[in-house]
Amino acid sequence: MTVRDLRYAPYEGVSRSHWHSVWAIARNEMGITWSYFRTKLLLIAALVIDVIFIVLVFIEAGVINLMSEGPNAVTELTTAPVTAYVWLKLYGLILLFAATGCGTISHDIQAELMQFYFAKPLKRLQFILGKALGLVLVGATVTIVPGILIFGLRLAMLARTDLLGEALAQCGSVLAFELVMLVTFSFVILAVSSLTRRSGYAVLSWLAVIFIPDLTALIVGQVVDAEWPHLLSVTANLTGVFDVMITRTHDISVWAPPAAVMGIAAAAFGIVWWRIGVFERL
Amino acid sequence: MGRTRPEATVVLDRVTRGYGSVIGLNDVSLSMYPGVTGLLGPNGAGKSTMMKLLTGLMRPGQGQVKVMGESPFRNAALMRRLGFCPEWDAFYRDMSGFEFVSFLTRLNGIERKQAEEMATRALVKVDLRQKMDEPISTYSKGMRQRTKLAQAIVHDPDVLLLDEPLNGTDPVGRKIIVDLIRQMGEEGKTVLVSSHVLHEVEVMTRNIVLIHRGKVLAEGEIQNIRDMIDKQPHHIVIECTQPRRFATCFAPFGDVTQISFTPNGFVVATTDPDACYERIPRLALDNDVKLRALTCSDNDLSAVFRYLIG
Repeated sequence: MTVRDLRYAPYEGVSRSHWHSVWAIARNEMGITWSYFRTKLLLIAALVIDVIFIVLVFIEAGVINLMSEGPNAVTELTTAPVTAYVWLKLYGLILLFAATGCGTISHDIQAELMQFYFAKPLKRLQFILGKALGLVLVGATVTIVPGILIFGLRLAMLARTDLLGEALAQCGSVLAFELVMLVTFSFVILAVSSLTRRSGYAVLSWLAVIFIPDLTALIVGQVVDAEWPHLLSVTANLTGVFDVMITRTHDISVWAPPAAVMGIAAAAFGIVWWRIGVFERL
Repeated sequence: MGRTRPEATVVLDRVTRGYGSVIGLNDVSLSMYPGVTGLLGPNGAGKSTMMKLLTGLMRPGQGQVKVMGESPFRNAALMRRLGFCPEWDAFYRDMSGFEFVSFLTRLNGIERKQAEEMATRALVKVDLRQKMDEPISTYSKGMRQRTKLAQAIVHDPDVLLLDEPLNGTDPVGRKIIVDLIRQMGEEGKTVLVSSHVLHEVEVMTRNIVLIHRGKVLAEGEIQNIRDMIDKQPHHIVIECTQPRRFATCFAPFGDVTQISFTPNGFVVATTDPDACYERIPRLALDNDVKLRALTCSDNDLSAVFRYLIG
């Protein structure tokens, strides 16, 4: 055996981008999710809803054009179809994440892959951001991407009308809401996924996190006959954020739903931070 | 001009690490230098704990761990100079070997194209060029071990930590891995190879550390240990096609003291492991038997430890 005389100095090598690692993890996550047959099936199902809304955009533009000259001319856009769109996207995303997102960390734990990650020059924040970005990008395929197409088409159809400004505000609100929803759900998914090595348990936990507060809010709301129990529900808080964005009003307070959503996202991030810390230092 | 003693690249200073009430490592002090060092001990001796401490995956309860003068715990910069091949089979099984190694290379903060070039080079080094685009789920145990080794050497680390790298490998894979480890040692890298089989380590290095129940029992030249171990029968677990027919081929040899069957193959007990290891591939070839895995039980080493600790 040849032994050489080496004198090691503290590392001062080439500084490499942290974002390469984040993007590598996100891309890997997208690749894994895309490899599932159920992902493709759900994306096709989501596409059907999008096609329906594209047809509705044409119908809306046709009706507005038809009535533009008469006494019943449309002077303002209704928010009902946009709210329906948002609700469909909300539950569509819950379903997509239940089917494809819950194994994002639990699978890594089960397959003993965490030791590979943290034996690399990878920081906890990079790991979490990479996983979250992967989920956001997967979720964007059923929310933001069709949102841009549908509401972009709507803006084009209403470009020469007085309703353009209002349509633009609705478009902005929908896209901003979808981004808030994606980020919040991604961190909640990461939190439930990091708590177990069984993806099945993560799916159950995810559905529980969404639907148990919904049911609780419904029951308590009926009993006390008040609006505040809606603040217990994740979905009601998210749609509350959308209501605030689109109407600038809320039944309780314009600050309550955004604060609740931020609290949920922060709590979820805290759980992931703690759990990944456990694996980082075993 | 006399050769100067190189600086120790890996230093453990009175390191203790427990898991609740169970002690993984107990007051271990050790220095390792460039070249290959074998870390020997039966299952549960503390080898993997030591590996995790050195890769910064674990913090010592007491004492200090230094790799190239720095603590490895949460030291991202140091991780760029360190390669780790874990014991467990941990993969994204739908990925190809190439995708898996490229992905892990990118975690070093390296851009995609460069990572892919590095991954290809590493996979060629471990002789996986032909199969590197096939899913890992179709790989044999030996090929999976080589994939893990490829991701450990891909960034040309100065310190290489290999946890049971020969576990379950076939004779061809074993030779490739052994040659690569020896080559890295000769290049001046610090390579720590853990194993529970003395014979495996012996072909890579003369320098070993014996660990048992979290304590270092002995360190230094392998020959002393070898003399002790030769007195014990050595058990080789063979997984292959037609195990009953193949097992009968071993019966005529005088060094074979016992043959027993397992669900997937059989175990040969031999007093001359060198001759037996040489014989296995030749007999397999002569008898048209396909070898799936060769592993060594740690019964023989445990016997040496029992001898050492009285």
